[in-house]
Amino acid sequence: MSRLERLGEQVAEAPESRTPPNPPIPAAGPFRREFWRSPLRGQWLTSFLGSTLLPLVIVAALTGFLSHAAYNPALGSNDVSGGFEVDLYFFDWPTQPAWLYSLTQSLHLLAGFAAIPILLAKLWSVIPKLFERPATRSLAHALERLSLLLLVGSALFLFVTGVINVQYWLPFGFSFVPAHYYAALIFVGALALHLILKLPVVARTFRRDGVFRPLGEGIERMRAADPAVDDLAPIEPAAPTISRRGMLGAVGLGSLGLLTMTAGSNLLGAVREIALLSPRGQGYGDGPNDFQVNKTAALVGIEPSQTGGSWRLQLTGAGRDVSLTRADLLAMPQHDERLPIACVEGWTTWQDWSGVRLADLAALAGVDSGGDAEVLVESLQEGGAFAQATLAGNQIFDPRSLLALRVNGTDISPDHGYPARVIVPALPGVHNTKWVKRMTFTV
Amino acid sequence: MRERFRYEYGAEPLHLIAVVASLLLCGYALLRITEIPGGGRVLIWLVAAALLHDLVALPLYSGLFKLSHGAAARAIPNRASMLMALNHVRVPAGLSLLLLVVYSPLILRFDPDRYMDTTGIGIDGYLGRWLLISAGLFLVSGVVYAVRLRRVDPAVAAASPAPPPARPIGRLLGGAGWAVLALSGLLTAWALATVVVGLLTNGL
Repeated sequence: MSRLERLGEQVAEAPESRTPPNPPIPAAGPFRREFWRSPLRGQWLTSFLGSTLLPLVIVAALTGFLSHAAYNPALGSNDVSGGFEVDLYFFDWPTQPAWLYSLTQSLHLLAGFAAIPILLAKLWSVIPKLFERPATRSLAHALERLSLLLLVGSALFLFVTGVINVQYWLPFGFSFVPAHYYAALIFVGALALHLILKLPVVARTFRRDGVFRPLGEGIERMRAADPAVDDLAPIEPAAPTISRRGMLGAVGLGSLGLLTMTAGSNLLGAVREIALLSPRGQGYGDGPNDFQVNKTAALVGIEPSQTGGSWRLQLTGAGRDVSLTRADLLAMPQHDERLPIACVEGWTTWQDWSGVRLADLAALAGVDSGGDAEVLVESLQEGGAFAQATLAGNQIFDPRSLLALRVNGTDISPDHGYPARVIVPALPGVHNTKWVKRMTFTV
Repeated sequence: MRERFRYEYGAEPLHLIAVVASLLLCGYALLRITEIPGGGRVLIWLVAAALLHDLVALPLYSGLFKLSHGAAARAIPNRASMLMALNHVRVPAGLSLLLLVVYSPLILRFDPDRYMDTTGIGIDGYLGRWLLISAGLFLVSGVVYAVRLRRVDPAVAAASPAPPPARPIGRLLGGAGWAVLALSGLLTAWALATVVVGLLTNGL
């Protein structure tokens, strides 16, 4: 047995641990191991659930951190996580392919929602451990339990905040993005330790019981695990009321159901109708501006007087200030691009945009593609984390990046950012600033 | 030396190094959380999430499953038949409950104004669609159950021993099971009434 492999069980066994047996308070209720009688519980069930859960949380974590990078947090005030000093961000988010952010963020939501029933089942499978006695056998055991509190707390926190945030219910009184971000950091830190300690146990369990063998046992043949070799097995198992495969099947159906609800609103735009419960599963209508809105003009306080004839686009660049009316912009060369709005909430909508290239506006402001340019785009919107966004050079000078004036052959509507909005390939939805009033180019 | 360490600490030195590294990273994240607006609430909810799940939600749903088992065991003496019937109710009920919990902000309309302001459309329809999905789940489960019933050999089913007569605790469980059933019936009726009233007031 390798050193690493022994790590997991030292704590479980710790025969020479010096902590004496607990004072003789008789254990009662759930603190008695006999209280937990389900014959389904055992290392195999927990190992199998954990092995299913692991790829999903890895996908969710990677795409989550990628989403942070997609906001180009090093630029301007883009970082809404509260300023992570040792940022993992070290590249400019690409503009190619245009559906990149749609893909990563869809995967984030799909993996996250599919993981919910599996996580709940896994927590159910290990709940007797919460009440185990003695509560701490050694310092090693106590530290492990502290780490488990962080793991379970951060996992549940991530799922709850993520799920309710995409449904626009924000009752907690803290900002979603930094809370979700740093909870994810706790989760990753605690999960890494959990994997180091438990992967050897999983490997040994699968060697002993087989990876899939217990799935072959129906309710008649199924036996409870042996408590002598399995610390999750029941001491006094009750008669089974469902087989392990039956329970896993139900959990899988739950995952599949949530996957279907989520998939409908992103990856499979054409079958949006099956996303019956997804927050963006509802249709808008058949008009050219009838597609998903994120934050209406009314919500952010945009008045018609601000967007009428008096509206000007202020361009600031290398020692040059330019003021443009909407008619001036429409007189410039117009370009058509089919580009997605891909929201952090996991939904995507592709539309036919038309407007002025950001590169042309940069040239008007005296900034060319030679330098390491940036642009700060500000909205008429007062306040709010996304009233402005800073775009990197590769985003400004991608020929498909537009200041869009029209969509699907008509003026963009007030809710979609009239008089003008940014649309850049592969950019997170909220960085495609609406109701643009000022663009400040710097090199 | 190593033995002494194991005796004092309870595991190998490598264990301590891994644990400390992990806790330090978590500590850094916790420190940053205290610096963000409302950070104190984040810390409270990190712990509250674990406690609410482990001490409230999990006992609640496993208690519901146990109640349903008790009620079914009283209603159907033959154990094999009872289990088949029970699981054909439990599984769709569990799935329906999962959807209700996950999508409760929409289905139960926790913040319709914010939804309207953000998306530009109303939050209507989720309760009705959840009821339809749940009805579909029970329908499919019922059809599968009916097919399986026809396949079960009556001789095998009859051979199963009858359960012992119900003890008082069993009667209590059975009564609680009926109470749960009545409550869910009332909830369903309320939900249906809401849908009907909603349809009528929002213009048919």
